[in-house]
Amino acid sequence: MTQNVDLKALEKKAWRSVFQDGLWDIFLGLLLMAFGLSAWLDRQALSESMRMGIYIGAEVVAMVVLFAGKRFITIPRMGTVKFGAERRKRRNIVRLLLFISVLVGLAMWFLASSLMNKDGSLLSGKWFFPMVWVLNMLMVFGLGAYFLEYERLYIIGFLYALAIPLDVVIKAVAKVDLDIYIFLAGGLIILIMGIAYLVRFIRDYKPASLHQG
Amino acid sequence: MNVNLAPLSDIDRLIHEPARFQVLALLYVIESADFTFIMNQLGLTWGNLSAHITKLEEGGYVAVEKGFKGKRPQTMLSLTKQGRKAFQSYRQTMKQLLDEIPE
Repeated sequence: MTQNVDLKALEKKAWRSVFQDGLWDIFLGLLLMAFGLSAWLDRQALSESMRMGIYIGAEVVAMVVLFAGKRFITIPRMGTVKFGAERRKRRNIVRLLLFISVLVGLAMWFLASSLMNKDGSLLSGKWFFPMVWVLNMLMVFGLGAYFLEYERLYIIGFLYALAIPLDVVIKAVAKVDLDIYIFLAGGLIILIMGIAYLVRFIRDYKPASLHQG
Repeated sequence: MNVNLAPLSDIDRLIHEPARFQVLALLYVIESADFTFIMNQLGLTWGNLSAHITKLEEGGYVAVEKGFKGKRPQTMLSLTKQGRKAFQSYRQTMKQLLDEIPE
């Protein structure tokens, strides 16, 4: 008998199954849609604290969907797994990248705000933030996709990266502000992708209690 | 060409059974997993996996840790040192044997 098993492929298959539930896609889709909500709130006659409260509330909803989904849908159907040191190392690299990305994003946003009144050059407030946004998003999602071997993150990163420069370009060319719709549309695409994966996951994986009879 | 098949008699029969080999191979590449995860990854039934795990546990190759995650019972499985060593040795022997068989 030939026991022909590729151990690397076996480990990779086990690792990739972690993203089969689509919950991370749903979470990231909801986060991008929350940016659209934030843009809409900016145009409403609401106090700053109210706007902030609603926006944070939307982000909390996204987190609840992710964690409750993992707890009540994924784990009872797929089970639990702990990976080895190499995978943990890669996951920690991604955590560090996300942390750096948030810091860079915040720093650039403050810098862009201070440059906002100077116009004309490439580094004016109008273009500076979108440029940094694109680089930051492509870098963090690209490296995340690479280290986590989670290919859909490349698409998600592209949709995140596209949102702000697309808004700036449309504003410059057509003189209309579509930021709300751009964020909502990008987020919706990611959300639908995640829901499709979740539906397939629920169809393919039955709850463990059914197996035990 | 003479093929030395003597190592064949040394093959670990506990590992040689395909389903048990798959369980050990999976546990070899991860740190630990629960019953449900292994069952899904390998496409085994609950009863089938349960029977194999019992044999592997009795052989000292797999450690079974029963506990609770919240209110739900959870059985975590991992490879013991003995199991890891036995699996490596089995792979080595099989590789050697198959390499010696002419095309």
